[in-house]
Amino acid sequence: MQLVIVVLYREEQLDDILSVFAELGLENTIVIEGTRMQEVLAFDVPIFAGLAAGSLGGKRYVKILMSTCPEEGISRQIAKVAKDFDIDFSNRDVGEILTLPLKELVTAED
Amino acid sequence: MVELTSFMKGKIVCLDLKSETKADMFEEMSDLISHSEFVPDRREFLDALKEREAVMVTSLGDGVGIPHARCDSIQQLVIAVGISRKGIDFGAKDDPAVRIVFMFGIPTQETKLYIQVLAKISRFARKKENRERLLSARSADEIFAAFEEFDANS
Repeated sequence: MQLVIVVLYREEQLDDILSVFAELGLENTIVIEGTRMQEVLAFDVPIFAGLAAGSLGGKRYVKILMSTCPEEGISRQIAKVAKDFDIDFSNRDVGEILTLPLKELVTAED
Repeated sequence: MVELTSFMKGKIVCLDLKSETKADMFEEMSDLISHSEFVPDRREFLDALKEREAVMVTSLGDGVGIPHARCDSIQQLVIAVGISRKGIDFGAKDDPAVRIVFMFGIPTQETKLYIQVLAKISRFARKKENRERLLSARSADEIFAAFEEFDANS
């Protein structure tokens, strides 16, 4: 079992990435809104205000999708299907896909 | 990964829908799809289609519509494809003429599969080359072949 985490820096592509998750059967996905530390620093901590002029593009919020999946290789499947939606995870500005092995998962079925 | 062609084995295709309105098209394609063994109750299916459509139009944009219904009587997911030469108004402001219709029926309890299939049809339909291929198809086999290729490359 894998824990799948996708961090999407382009929140306008949330619909598309959700469609990818839906197609791949990742139905127990949770969507969380987050902010990159660099942007919190830039906009909320005055001493770091100089960061706001950097390459952040004014995009303060990111979407984080969390799910579980029994299959290995799910990150490659997500990346492949996402390309059809012009979401290219090889571009670091787009987002990141992480998978972690889960030691234990307790569900209602247990 | 879900394969769309596994739900299209009956090759339920109409290359020239006669209907000019959405309501008529629902009737026309319901007739078509209910000839398959998997949709035994045409009336239930048609009512469910209308009920779903009333929630929100199933036009996807780019001249594509995906009307669908979940019914208790349906034994297995089944997909039909219809092509309208004139285009059908689904009532969506940004898409006045739906020319490609994917209609599917699915057992009510198959929620996961329902989401997967809807998402995959949407991905198929967003590609211009896929839409053009369907519009230029001259047989059900050509339509089926487009999906086979898509499944193989997915």
